[in-house]
Amino acid sequence: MRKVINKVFAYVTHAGRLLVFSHPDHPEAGIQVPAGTVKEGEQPETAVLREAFEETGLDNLELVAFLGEQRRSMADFGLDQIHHRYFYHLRYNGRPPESWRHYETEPSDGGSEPIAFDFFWVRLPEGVPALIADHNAMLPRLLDYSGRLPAF
Amino acid sequence: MTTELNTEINSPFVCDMTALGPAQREQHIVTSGQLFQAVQEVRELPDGYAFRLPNDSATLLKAAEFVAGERLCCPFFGFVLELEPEGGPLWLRLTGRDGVKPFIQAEIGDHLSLS
Repeated sequence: MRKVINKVFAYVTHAGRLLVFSHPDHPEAGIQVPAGTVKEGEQPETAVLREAFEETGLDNLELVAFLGEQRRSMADFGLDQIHHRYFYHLRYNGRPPESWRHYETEPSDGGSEPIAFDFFWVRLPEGVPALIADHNAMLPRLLDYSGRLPAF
Repeated sequence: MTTELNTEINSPFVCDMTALGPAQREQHIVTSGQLFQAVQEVRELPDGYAFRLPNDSATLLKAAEFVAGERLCCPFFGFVLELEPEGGPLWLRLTGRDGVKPFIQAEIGDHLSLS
């Protein structure tokens, strides 16, 4: 029977902005939010904090809320996989740079070469660009509840 | 990169698991497990799968309950509940457009007790 791969997605916010990134070496990968694969036996809540740190290099992240989950076929990207995706809101409690490059040294695809990510903040909601592969799926829920908070 | 045209033609199969509230979802998982563990036969269809179930009122109600929940999470599924005449078997058909079968396998496979 087909194996479902568990993935976590992080909507990292700071001062009304969302963290996104591009792949300088693979522009076809589009604009994304931090995400990755849940390890065997790992809880999604743990995985999202680990993945967000590994991908962004930000170490002062706070898990604020679980936003939702979905199962998505990746056939439209040529992958014979079903991903079970868990989306979380994480808040960065620090003074981040406006943009930076970080290298993922443990890529989810198992590759051994570090992958460069170019991170930048975009204003919520109007500044959010088109995100690839439905990375924006739970953004409406983030905006729904964060709109009731004084700052996020 | 996925173009707008490709997105329209090959729009992905996406189940929103949080379309159900927490209690409703928990009940749906229990219902799905009970229903598909009772499956007596699986037939592959051109556009999905047919599951033969015990022909009793409790299973019929459970199948209807499954459909009511599943259609909220996975709106791209088609459902048919068929009761054959003269006390014949109960069939649940789960179908969809091209490419839906792997998704059905992922959704239902864990619950099936058939080898």
